[in-house]
Amino acid sequence: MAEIITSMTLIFVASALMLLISNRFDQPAVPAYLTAGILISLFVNQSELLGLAQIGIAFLVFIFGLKFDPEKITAVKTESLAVNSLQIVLVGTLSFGFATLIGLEPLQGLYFTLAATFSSSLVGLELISEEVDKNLIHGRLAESIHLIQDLLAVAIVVFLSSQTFTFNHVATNLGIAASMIVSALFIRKYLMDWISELAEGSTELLMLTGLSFLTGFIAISQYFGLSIVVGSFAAGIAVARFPHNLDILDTMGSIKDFFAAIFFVTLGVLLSFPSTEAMIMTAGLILITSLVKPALMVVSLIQQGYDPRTSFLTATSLDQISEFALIIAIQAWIAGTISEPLFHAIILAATVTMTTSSYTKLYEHQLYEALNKYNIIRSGNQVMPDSNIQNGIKNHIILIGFDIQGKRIVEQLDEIGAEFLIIENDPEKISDLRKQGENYVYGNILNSETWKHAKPEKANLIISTAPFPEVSNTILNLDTDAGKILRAEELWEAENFIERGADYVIVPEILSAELIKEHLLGLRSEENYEEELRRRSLLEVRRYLESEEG
Amino acid sequence: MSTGFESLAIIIVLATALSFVARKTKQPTVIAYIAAGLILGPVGLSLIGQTELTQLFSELGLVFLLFFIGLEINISEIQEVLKPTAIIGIFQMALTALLGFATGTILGFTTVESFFIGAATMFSSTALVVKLLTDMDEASTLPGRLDVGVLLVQDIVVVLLLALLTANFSDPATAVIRFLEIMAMIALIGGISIASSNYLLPRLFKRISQKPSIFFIYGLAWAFILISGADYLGLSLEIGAFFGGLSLAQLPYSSELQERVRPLTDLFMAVFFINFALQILPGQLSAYFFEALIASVVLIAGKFGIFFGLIDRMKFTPETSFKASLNMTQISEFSIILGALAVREGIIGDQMLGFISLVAITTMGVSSYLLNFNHAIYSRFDHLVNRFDAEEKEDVDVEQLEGHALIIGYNMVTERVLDLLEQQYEDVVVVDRNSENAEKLSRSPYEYIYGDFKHGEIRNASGIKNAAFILSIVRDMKVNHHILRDRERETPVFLEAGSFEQAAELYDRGAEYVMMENIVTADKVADYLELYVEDPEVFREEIQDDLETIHWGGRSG
Repeated sequence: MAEIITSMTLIFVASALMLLISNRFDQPAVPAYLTAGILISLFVNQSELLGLAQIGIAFLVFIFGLKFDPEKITAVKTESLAVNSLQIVLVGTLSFGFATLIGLEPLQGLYFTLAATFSSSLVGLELISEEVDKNLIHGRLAESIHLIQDLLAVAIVVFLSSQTFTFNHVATNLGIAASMIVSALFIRKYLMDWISELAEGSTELLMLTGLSFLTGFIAISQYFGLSIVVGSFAAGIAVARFPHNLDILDTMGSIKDFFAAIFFVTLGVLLSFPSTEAMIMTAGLILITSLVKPALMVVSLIQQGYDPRTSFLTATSLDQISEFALIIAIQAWIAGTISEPLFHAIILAATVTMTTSSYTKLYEHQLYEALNKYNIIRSGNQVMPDSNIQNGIKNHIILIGFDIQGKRIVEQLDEIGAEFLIIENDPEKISDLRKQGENYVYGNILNSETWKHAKPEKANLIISTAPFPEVSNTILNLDTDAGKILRAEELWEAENFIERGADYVIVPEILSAELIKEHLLGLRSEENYEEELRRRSLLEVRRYLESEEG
Repeated sequence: MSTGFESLAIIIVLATALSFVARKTKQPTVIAYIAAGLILGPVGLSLIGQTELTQLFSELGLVFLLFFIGLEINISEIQEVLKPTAIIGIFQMALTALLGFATGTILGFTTVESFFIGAATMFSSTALVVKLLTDMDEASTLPGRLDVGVLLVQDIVVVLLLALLTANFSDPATAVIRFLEIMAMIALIGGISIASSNYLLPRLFKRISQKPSIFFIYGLAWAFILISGADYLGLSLEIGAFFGGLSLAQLPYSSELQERVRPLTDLFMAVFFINFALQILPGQLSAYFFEALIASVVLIAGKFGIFFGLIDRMKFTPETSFKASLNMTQISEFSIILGALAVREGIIGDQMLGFISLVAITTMGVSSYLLNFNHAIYSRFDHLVNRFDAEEKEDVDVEQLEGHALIIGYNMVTERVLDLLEQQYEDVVVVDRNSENAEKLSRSPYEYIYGDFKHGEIRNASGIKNAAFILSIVRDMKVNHHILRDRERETPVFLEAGSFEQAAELYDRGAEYVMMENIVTADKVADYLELYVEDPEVFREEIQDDLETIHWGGRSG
């Protein structure tokens, strides 16, 4: 027991130290753990950590399965599917070629290719979580790309679990895995509600349920000789019944943090001083992952009709190596099927690319401007900017974005009979606008090309309800006398906008506060104010929801 | 690892199934864990033995438990019960030891055996009591704090006993020296933990308390540092973990950390109880079966009496004395550990260990039941209990809030509304979990609670049932659900949602008003649009007020 305690102490103290640094520089946590592992590698006993590390894998994949939403698959755009397939094929071929070139055997080449092709959803999704929340296109694109890749990764893990790669073996394994997932979906749909009811909201019971499914499915997959990844994934899917999955997520989340930390640190521990061979492979992986892969992605997205900026912003969240590659690598290492240099190369390259990808995300706008300046990113066969505007439009109102807020404003604009046009860059919304016969410009707000179509110099008013300073800045920098109504999240921002020429700035928090005060006074002064308030507000929300569907 | 997972799976699945049964029959899950172990182990089907993994988890269980307990002890909070618990703890142990000794002698055991029984049974189960209290969100009630305090005193004595048992008995001088050494070590580690709690930790943790997972790792790192330190000094790991938790408990963010540690502790403790039951041999149980049952009854009744008498003497109300005593009627799992050690040292025989184990299981089972129903049992007997009441008896207790305005989450919105709320409701309680606001809020005239509203303890402390108005700017749907569930129906609730679907759901569940940034924004624009287009002059007049607010708000904010 004492030795494990020493190891754990080293693990957590080293992690804490590295996290101090990574947090300071807004870096993701995973490289910090890997580095921590490297630091303590001389002082810990590898073999006893491997068992705990495996548990870490189980929990990581379990949580992944838990967060996995099958409905999101159906909502996946065909574009992201196309982009993904293209990218996988291209990057895959390239990496496999490189691997063969430097003398790797086919199986090793396969591992190399896997590492280079798949991106990390753990790190990647964290990088774009804000964009996804704000419903930006490139956020949604990146999210769906990650989703597809993760699914493929799980399938590949199953494939690799086969002892021999005969068709029979692989087919059987895939079949077993598929039936496990099907039963998991079955449990999720029909049993979880009943179980959650029995649990009567006890987090302990829900945690135990989660654990039971986890250990149960893992035991089943081990019985059939499959990797624990399959079992963990199936278990996660099985218990992911909303809203109970939130409770399970809360409790299992801490447990996962504990074991996942041990897992990543152990990987770092397993890294020893890389040989020349390893260094070559590392370099190759890094190059492909941080340069070739994103480049190919940008090109294919532009092909699909997205504007260059959106394409670039999507790619910057996908330029790292996936944790699935790490999981596959360590399982291969335990089974003895991966060469040591390659194993080290994957860990090293993962550490580096996860770190660099957060920097590319941080400086993505600057990078894009630089690339744009040197015309490296070409607009090529792009569909945008495009427009459908009445001839001779003037004194019009320009509205940014046809989201729910936009729709409400359009309602009002129709009521007062004003002339207006909408600038929007989401292809789905554009097709809606087209159907409704409205004036629009299909383009990215931050591009000057787009504005040429909108004719701001002739406009009466520009309205933006987007909470992004870049958008507001672009509008303020336009050469026009038109009025400007913008949105800001902070008071100092709002004041800054007004000083620079905005006529009015909406600060939602202030508005909310004023409304609350109004209602507070109402509560005091009138009888039944609450019921009235509730009724009115509920109706308004329902109206908004209906307008969204319609 | 392959066999490891299969046995683990069977253990956990059975434990889970039994836990569900336990819940239906209103038993605590601890019983289910023990039952699972009994069924699968030598006593039952003999399917599974202890594995390396279960051993490891089991030992981690006690370590994490003590860490968890340490985290609970905010010194300022227990100061008021510190003196009474120390006195109660010491006297209780002495009296119970006597009771144990007497019972042993009467039942026919030898002097040495009876002495051992006395020593082993004087402790109550930290694992069980703390777990059940926290499950019921009663750990910070007065009886709860008394119990936790007494358990702590006991834990310190346990550590001393453990150390003593492994000390060299042949030479009394060495034994005494060793004892003093241990005391010194404990003082040392205690000192380090208190010192760092005041100087080092606040600085270290302030910056990273924002990110829960990182914060968690930090907490673990600190705990392990002290655990290793304790190990190095020759103390038990649990003492290190305890002081680790203790030093962190003084920080305001400790409740967050506690919640993160809790699932891990639950997991390890579950394995602990299962593991414990897995190692019991049937022979051990049957040897002194009837003696064990008799001893259990005597101990339960006796412990209750001893506790009640002592707490009552400390001038607490009869209700507090009753409930606090009812919770402590079992013997501790440490009795088994002590027993195992004693067997190893040749002080007692194997069958004695079985006897103690059976007493442990029985008393734990019965007392869990009693603990779970302490309120109901109290109401049954309250007329009897209140005979003990007297003028000077009073509970040192927290102020009860009533008719206050409850704010959950502190941001620009709530900041602007606080003045008006204070005017209308006199008392304002702010619950916020952002450490950056801590300083500002503690200095404000409002009642401030640092913590996450998702946690039952925080909700209890906020007095949500007695609030006259509730406002929450936390968009987390879980928090919103808790609020709508816990509040009284007449209390108006204003919430905030991130999407229209969420808002609709909250209205369906009874919220009076749900703020949505996007609705508010769009409505405002729509309002001003007509004005702007038709009458620009009037528009400019209308927005003057808003512009003023931005200007002045921007200056001062």
